[in-house]
Amino acid sequence: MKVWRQVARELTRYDSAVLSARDGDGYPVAVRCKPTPDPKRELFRVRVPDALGVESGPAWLLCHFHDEQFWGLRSFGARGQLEPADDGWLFRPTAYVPGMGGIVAMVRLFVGGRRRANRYLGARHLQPPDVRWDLVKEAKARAKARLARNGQRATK
Amino acid sequence: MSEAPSFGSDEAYLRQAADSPASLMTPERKTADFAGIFNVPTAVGAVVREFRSCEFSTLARDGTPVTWPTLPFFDHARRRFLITCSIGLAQKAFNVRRDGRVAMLFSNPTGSGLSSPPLVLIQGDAEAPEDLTPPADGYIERAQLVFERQPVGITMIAVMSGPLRKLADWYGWRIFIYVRPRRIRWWPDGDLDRPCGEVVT
Repeated sequence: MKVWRQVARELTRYDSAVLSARDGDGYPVAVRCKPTPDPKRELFRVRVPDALGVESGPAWLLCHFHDEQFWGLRSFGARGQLEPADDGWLFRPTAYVPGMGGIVAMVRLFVGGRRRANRYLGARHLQPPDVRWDLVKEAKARAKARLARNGQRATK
Repeated sequence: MSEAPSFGSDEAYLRQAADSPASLMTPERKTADFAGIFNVPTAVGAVVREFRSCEFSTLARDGTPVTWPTLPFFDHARRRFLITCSIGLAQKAFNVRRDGRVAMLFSNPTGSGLSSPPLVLIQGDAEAPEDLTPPADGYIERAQLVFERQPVGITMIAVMSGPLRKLADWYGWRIFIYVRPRRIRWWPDGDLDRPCGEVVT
């Protein structure tokens, strides 16, 4: 599937997006926006406030979602180029980047994550660091107690 | 642009956040929070404290600002943010080690309990040391905050015992990224048509 079409299709699942580019000092800048698709030119019109000091060049579009309980995570990204236009800015996607959400993404995360983690340790001749499960358990108990006091749901 | 726009009553924001069932504010956080340290409106501090995630941008090798949502912790004592990532998902740390220029956008209020919060953009300088030892102080508090904001984690930890825990241990092998704010901008009510406030640290 063409990158533009894939990004346009995924965008319909979100209320808005985050556009990031770079400013005159080379630092990243980002802003929430509602990209308008231009199917003919296979790009998206985006509104960027002047105060951001954004410059044309490499850019990124992110859509992400979480619910009130910080769960139901889903996301995707798109690499591309930001170009000036007479009436604003144009984002031209060049690559679709899958993020969180769904069983495929979860499997990819866990299989690929362990492989990359082992590679990270191997390249540095490191042993896996200890995970302080005792502290995690303590934190879990405290959180459960606080949530119970606030009348929020805490299971297990 | 550098003059801080009015937000009405900052106290109202504090009350709103404190009354929210989702609020995790302690008395210490109220007196020494982000707003007080960087002299920005209380509403901006409330966003930093209460938002569940920020959109964190790092620079890829080709200069593309790569942005993904993440959960930041503000360290009041050291005036910096702590962001962590697994060594199995380390691209943002690799990017930071090559180029420390980063940005954090707070633009998703879901779960924060705040209504009409400002849009907050923080640019900063980051470092990602090779040392994987967790910062000694605040370990339990940070984990507690995550559990309180993401209660499903409590369930997942409970069902994940023994061998299952082994499968997921790599996720707990974390890299620690520290971000020092250098420029903070905010748009009242998230309205990009209004002038933004700005503080350069």
